[in-house]
Amino acid sequence: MIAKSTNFGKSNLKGCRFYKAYLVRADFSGADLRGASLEDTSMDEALLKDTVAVGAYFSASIMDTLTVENADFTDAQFPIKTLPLLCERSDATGTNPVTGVDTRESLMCP
Amino acid sequence: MPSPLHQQNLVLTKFTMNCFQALLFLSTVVALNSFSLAPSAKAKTINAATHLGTSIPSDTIRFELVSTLFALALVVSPATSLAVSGGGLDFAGIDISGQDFSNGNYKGKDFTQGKKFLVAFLAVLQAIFSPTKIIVAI
Repeated sequence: MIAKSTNFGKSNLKGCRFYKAYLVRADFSGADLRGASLEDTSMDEALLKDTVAVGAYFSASIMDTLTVENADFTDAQFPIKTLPLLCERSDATGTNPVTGVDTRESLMCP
Repeated sequence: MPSPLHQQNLVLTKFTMNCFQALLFLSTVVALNSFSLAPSAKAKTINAATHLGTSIPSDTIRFELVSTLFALALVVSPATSLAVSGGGLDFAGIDISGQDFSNGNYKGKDFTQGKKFLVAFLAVLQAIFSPTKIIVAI
């Protein structure tokens, strides 16, 4: 699927499969991505602000997103080398407005 | 709903309907060849039995009967194999760039890239050549 600049804001995307999807500049702000699969996607400048991504699956392309502020990544799966880099991002902060979970805590950042 | 999705679903639906219409036509032709409404009339088929004035071999009748049943099974039986369990493949492999999917419920949907047409093609093949229908026909 090609979803360049597509708006998924505040949508229910539980368990959705985005494998190899083209999600450049896609807007997932406030979307529910619980259990979603986003492996091998292109996520350049995608917005993940306020996203609930509990148990979601990501690849290294999450580093290309524009923001992950207030996102909840509890139990989400990342490549081993990606997680430390994600913790270093300045926008990996805040608290998810839906779940009340701190973004850095959900990433288990030190 | 996005217009490309509607267009692709329409094309798939038309393709499926055309397949079933073709099968219906074939089954009708086979049925007409197998059974005559006027048994006393002379057989219209041109074969060795007709020219020699002999009766039609039982093997031929059996073959025609099985062919008719097979064609009817293809047409009449429900195409349950076309159904896709789970969320469906509504958005797989299509271009929805710039469209608005906000505030919607797309739970379990498939937004993967590059396999929609392959899956749809396999589903049609499965519907036509499913083992259940072949067993019913035989």
